[in-house]
Amino acid sequence: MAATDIVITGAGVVSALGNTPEDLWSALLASQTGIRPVDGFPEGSSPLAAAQVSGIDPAELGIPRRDARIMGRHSGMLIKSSRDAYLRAGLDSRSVPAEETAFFAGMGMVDYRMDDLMPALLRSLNQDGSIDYDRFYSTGYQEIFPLWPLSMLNNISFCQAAINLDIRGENTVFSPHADSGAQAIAEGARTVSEGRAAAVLAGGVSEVVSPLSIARAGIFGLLGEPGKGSMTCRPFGEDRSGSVLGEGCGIVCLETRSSAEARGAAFSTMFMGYGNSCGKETGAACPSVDAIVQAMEQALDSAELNPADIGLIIAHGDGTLQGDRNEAEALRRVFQAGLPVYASKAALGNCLAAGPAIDIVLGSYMIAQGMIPAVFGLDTPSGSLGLRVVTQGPLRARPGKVLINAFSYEGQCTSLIIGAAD
Amino acid sequence: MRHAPNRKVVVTGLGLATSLGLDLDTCWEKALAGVSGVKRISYPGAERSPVQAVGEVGAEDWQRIRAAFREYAECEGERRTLFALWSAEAALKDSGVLDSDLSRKRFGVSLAAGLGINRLEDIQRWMRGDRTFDYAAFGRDYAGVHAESIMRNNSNRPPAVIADRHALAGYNCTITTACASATQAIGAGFRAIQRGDADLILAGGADSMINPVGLIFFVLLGAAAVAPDDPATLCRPFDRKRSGLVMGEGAGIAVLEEESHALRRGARIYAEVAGYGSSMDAYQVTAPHPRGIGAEASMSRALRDSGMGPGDIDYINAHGTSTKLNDAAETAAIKNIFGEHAKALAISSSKSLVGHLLAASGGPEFVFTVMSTRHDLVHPTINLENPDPKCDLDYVPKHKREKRIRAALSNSFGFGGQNASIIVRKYMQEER
Repeated sequence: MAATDIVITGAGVVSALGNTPEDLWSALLASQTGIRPVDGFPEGSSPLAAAQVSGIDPAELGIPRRDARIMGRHSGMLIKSSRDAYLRAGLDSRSVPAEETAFFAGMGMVDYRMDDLMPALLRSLNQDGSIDYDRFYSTGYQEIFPLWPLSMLNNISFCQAAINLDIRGENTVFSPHADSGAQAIAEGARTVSEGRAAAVLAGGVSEVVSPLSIARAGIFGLLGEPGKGSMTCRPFGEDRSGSVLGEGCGIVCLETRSSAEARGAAFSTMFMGYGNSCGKETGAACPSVDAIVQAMEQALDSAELNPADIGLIIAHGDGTLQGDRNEAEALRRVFQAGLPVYASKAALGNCLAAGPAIDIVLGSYMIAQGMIPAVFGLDTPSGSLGLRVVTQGPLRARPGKVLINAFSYEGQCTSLIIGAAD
Repeated sequence: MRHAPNRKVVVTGLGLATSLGLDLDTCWEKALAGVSGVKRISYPGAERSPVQAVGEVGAEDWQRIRAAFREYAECEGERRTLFALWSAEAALKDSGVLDSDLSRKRFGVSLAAGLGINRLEDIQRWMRGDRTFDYAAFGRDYAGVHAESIMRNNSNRPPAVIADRHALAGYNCTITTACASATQAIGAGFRAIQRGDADLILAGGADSMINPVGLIFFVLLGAAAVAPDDPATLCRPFDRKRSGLVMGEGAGIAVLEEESHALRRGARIYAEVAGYGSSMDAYQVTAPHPRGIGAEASMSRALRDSGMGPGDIDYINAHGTSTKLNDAAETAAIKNIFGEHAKALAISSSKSLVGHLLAASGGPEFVFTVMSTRHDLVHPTINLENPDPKCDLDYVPKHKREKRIRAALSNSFGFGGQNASIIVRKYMQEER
């Protein structure tokens, strides 16, 4: 224990299983899943599953109507989670000035809605249905809402959240996959430990589930058979067939132990280390085994821990054939056999940049309450992967220190370590 | 968490791909000579585009890039990925680092990314006879989306491709903070080396919005210059008659290296990266704060980080977008920070020469800032003919300047209100 430890003093979560950390945790303990047939898609869409978020109302978050028009669902999720983390940490501009509050997030790709561009396209079509760009450039484009371009920038919702909370400190946006959310948290931890900010909000938000985001995941081979899409996500399962997209957001508040104690803020978890690497698996949307090993070993080194000190892995575990195979092999290489492995994507879907912060929140509960929920719906973990995935739960355990993995489609890896703040 | 050291970071390689050319010397010579890279658009089918003046990478240069990366040219959908590959390779060659004995696990990439490309063809292709979108058909064969489509190209593709080509296994991140992205990416790379998370980082950005929906992006927002003037004179930062930004495309990437690593291999050191700072306006997503409080905060954080005072800076490579709001707010912020010394600063805007490279803009601007610091030369702000009372500092109009540059600062401010500043200091080993 040291005054310079980085501790977590607040968290906000939005997910398909609830929009507070407590609701999400109890839903997982009760073996619920947020993955359902996709809701809100136009008639005639192919059947698909996703873990979608509901109950985020821009008006309730104090977002003016004129701003709401350029905000996708990801903006509401980010503002809600950031606000909750900020308030639950007991922050206000008197205890920590706006300039001393930093903000880092991982954010996904932002897609247009059909209605955004359809009027412009219709205005630009020739009789034969082809696009006439002369028409588009002269009149067609004027059918687009003039502020629509802002809604396409993924940092705009981040800036809206900063305006909402009046945060003016150091900041950046990483993108677009799970690793980016983890990089944001590591950057946040360093920023407070170096004294560049007194408190930091860090985490990430997923992409909005839409025909476009599903197409993107499908094109990259994340969703099993092209065009079909899997209805379940079975990380490390014998019958796994691919990932399922999820919506969500997770933001944590990080500060030094001395700052938290001086403010009288409560905390039970500390952030202990991180590691990064890059190496793509040929022909698959996941990192190589070597890259995963490197990120985990660096995280252990950064946390000044040995593999045997880790009591639980929260895996990236996205349910893809090759991705899970590589992660399992990397885990076997670095850690002793029998270490429990949990994967949240079975119940929450693949929340991309939101995953790591959500996993930190879940890991904190597991450390504090000594319980690890079962990975949802995982009846037959793949024997050949050689992992002890938690299938019966909640498992009574005292994980103490938890390593969390987060990967991109393109080979980027980040591993984080959290532990009990004795 | 292990305590992070505070290591010194130097620049040992530079790579560019801009409308001025594909190599550092050509771009720098033309920049000093005040040559504009902005021309009438040659992008196919854009004859009636409201945006006619762009800083395009010329057709011949584009073919050179494609030929050099033939295996990528066939499968990469976005121009920016090839610009990134080209500049990264140029920077690597310039640094000579790949010829040395190095750990590729300690070599990373930190790159800016801009918007994905929205192609109307992705809607048109699945239109039914009644002109509605056929979701079911799209769901069956979305693999047929356009090669440039946002559904096919993730923002982290360029840094991943660079890492893959050169087997760089270290820290690899993608920054998306609109026009502040590349300076923030360089800042992230600088920090990674300072902290000991990497010894080497390829840092900067690559971007292009020269595609149909990209071309009208800033027209819709009322931020683009659309006057039918001579393209080469349309971007006029700090001029009273400035009328908006002029788009450019390309990339600027630098090799950042830990000092002792560079010295050990006898590398040529261009300059030291001395400080970095970022801030947020938290004001409006549509306009910068009129007094530039966010810009002021990012500059003062960078100064504090470098341990230098305002009087130690001799040159500012401004964000200088040629929009009414930015140039006035940036000037106000510089005056607030630098006080009397503001008048003694040389300030110039690279955007007057190559246009606004958007997410990548901080890349070439960092490269030029490094060159100024090394060679004691400042490229001009071209097209600055009509002084604006709100912009009353020394913007080095029209002609280059010889000036001793002890240290220089480069600014980038993004839509939404994210700001970043980075400081480059003349490298002097004897200081050690």
